[in-house]
Amino acid sequence: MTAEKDSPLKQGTLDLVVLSVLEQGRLYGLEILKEINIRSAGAFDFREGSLYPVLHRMVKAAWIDSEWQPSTTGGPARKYYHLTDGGKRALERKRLEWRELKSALDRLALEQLRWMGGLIEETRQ
Amino acid sequence: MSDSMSLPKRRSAAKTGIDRYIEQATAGLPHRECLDTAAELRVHLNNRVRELLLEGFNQEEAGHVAVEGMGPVAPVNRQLLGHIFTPALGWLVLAIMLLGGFGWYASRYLFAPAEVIRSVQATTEDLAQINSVGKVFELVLPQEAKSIFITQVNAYTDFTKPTVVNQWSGALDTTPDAYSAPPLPNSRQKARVIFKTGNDIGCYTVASRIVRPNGKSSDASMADGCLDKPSNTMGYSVSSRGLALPNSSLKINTWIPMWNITANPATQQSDQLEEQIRNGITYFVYISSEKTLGGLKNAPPLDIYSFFPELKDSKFFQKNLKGKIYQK
Repeated sequence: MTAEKDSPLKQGTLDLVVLSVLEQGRLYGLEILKEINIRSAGAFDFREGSLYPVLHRMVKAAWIDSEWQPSTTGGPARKYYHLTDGGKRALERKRLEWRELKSALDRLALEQLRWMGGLIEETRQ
Repeated sequence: MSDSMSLPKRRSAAKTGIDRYIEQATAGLPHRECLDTAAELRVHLNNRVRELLLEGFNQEEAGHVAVEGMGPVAPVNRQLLGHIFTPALGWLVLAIMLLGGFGWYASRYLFAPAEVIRSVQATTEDLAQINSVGKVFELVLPQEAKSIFITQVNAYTDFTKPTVVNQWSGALDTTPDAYSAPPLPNSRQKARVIFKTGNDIGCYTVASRIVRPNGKSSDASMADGCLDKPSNTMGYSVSSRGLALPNSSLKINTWIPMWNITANPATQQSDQLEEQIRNGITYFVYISSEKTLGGLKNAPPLDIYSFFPELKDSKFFQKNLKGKIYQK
């Protein structure tokens, strides 16, 4: 990971990331972190403590719901989170927003690359 | 990493670190939410500790690393609360507000000067204002006072019509009939009233200065009392009497006699004034809480009798002030 932990850019996409992971099924906090870490190849290795305010905010927004369940691997009970219907809709909205943002950024980046390529070509000639 | 068995006494420190993190992260949350979040964080940290122990950390190190992995606790607490008023900041703000509130209350009520009217030594500044010798009274006004009125009445005859009623307020209006000064600020104020004495004792001129809470007085201005040029009008010498009720309490909405002058019959020059001369003229201070003339700068002249209905009652001052006026 090269970017700083908990950078504003990552914080801004945290909702999308968490909702995307929970789309797979019921997970508890540490599992969510590990899943994010695996699926993003470590790019979202953020401070673990910052996950819980996000989860609690999403519960209040009725995007996700939670319940304490006995651990499947033994040990103490865990609080599992899962997407609600509202959360699924929110996930779709955020994906759409992300696609639009990404394509806009891509266009800008490609334009810059073309301009630089043209500059290099001119220099060679 | 060291052998966990080598540091048995320090294990409680790691435990304390986890407890401390949980305590700080959940501080200020509603009880039910606090318990729920604390349990969730404890499960998370204990799971982490278990994983770290399997990786070879000792108990203390595992606890430390697990807590470190959570990151700074203050932002977590802020975000869980949903606002910036963390308990520590909340207590600080509350303490400041309480202290400020108590200070305001104390200065306004507990340690405020007593409401009183008293004779004070005239300063050179006072005397310079009237360009003569004079008697000065200081009034510490009741908290509720919005305005001060001074009127002239004769309490020993039916002549109770006030010659002039002046209002003294935050800004002194020197025009006797202008009832347009803004109300006094809502704090205990001091006012000084100067009665002119000496050879032209029949002349009375009143100056009033409103001393503001910061101790600075507003511009001292002269205000004629009952008559614009009493020395010309009256044309006789009089003797004077001082405050009828020295160092008396200033009650709100109560006429209080301040100064009394009595004409010298030997020098009277006007039949018209005979009765007044014989019976004396008395000044009163009136203080009102509800009644204020503020904001009436461009309003039509005030009907003073509707403002103070008791002025229509010819017996009012006789009933209420007779016997007080001449006691010294």
